[in-house]
Amino acid sequence: MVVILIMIFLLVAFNISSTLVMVVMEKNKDVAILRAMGATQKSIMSVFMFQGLLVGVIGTLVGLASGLGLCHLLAKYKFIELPSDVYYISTLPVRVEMLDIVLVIVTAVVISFLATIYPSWHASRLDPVESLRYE
Amino acid sequence: MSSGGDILLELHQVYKSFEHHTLSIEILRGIHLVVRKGESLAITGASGAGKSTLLNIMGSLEPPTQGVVRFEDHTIREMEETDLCKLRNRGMGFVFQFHHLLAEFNALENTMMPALIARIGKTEATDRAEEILTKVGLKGRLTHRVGELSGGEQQRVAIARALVMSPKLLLADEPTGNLDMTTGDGIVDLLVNLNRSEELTMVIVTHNQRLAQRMSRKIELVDGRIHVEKRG
Repeated sequence: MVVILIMIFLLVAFNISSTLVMVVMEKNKDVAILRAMGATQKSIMSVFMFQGLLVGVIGTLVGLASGLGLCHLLAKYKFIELPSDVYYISTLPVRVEMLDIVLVIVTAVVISFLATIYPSWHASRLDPVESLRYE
Repeated sequence: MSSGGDILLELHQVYKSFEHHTLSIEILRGIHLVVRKGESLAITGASGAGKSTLLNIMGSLEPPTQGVVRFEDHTIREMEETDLCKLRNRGMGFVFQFHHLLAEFNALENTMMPALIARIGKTEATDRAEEILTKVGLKGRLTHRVGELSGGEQQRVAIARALVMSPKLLLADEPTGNLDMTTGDGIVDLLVNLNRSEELTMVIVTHNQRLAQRMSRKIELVDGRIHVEKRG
């Protein structure tokens, strides 16, 4: 279970990071013009970190709602059957632990935040002259 | 270095070179230039003469390899990043050949952007943007998105955005370069009027001889040096 969770979190981090890298590449002219208008490196970095974090938080909330919904349905309708000759129980049991929920939320948000750092830092260090030179 | 209260920008023995593999390419070779408050200066020259590089150095967007650039009492090389950003935000306005407006926003929001960067309240930023857009003749286009504006209107919005913080210096790189002659002439008239009515100091890089001739001073760059200087 822990291995699956780690894999999911790595996938989340990779997805957020690569999405932000694409956004930075797409928006490099906009970043350059904002720098020419006086935006600081710190403010450019915070724009992209905010975007990455927003994606992470929305993803976490959607994932949480879907997961809890699925658990509820599973507990009510018991639609995943287990082979009775292998297990003592005939359907997959569900138990929702508050501590697990909190841990998953915190880990997902922290990992989302960490995944934004490199692309945001890269955006804040774009050379405005180089970005505006070619159209 | 020169002294005097009416000097806005001064470049002293400015050199710029780029390294390309093992080659060092010299773009600017010992530029000495003084821009006084209220004057309008045109920089002309062939492609590759170093005009845009000179303008970028004036605007603190790139540092010179050697030499000193002073804006009023500040030596740009000695300024902290935060102070440089403040200078670009409040002291200078940039207009480029391509408008470089943010496509997701309308004319008003684009014009407000420097004021929002300066953390001026939204109401005041809106008022300022509306006022300046009216001044450049776009009162009826406030809520139009960039894609809904013509080339000339887009460049007017870019000029309004450059002026919304009432900068002391307007730096323009080929502001008419992407426009047809009639629309370009409209932009030239606007810039000349702003220089006269607002006493706005402006430095314009241009190939457009009609624009250059209407500036109070014109310099021609050849091979990274000031070749000819004429007063209008």
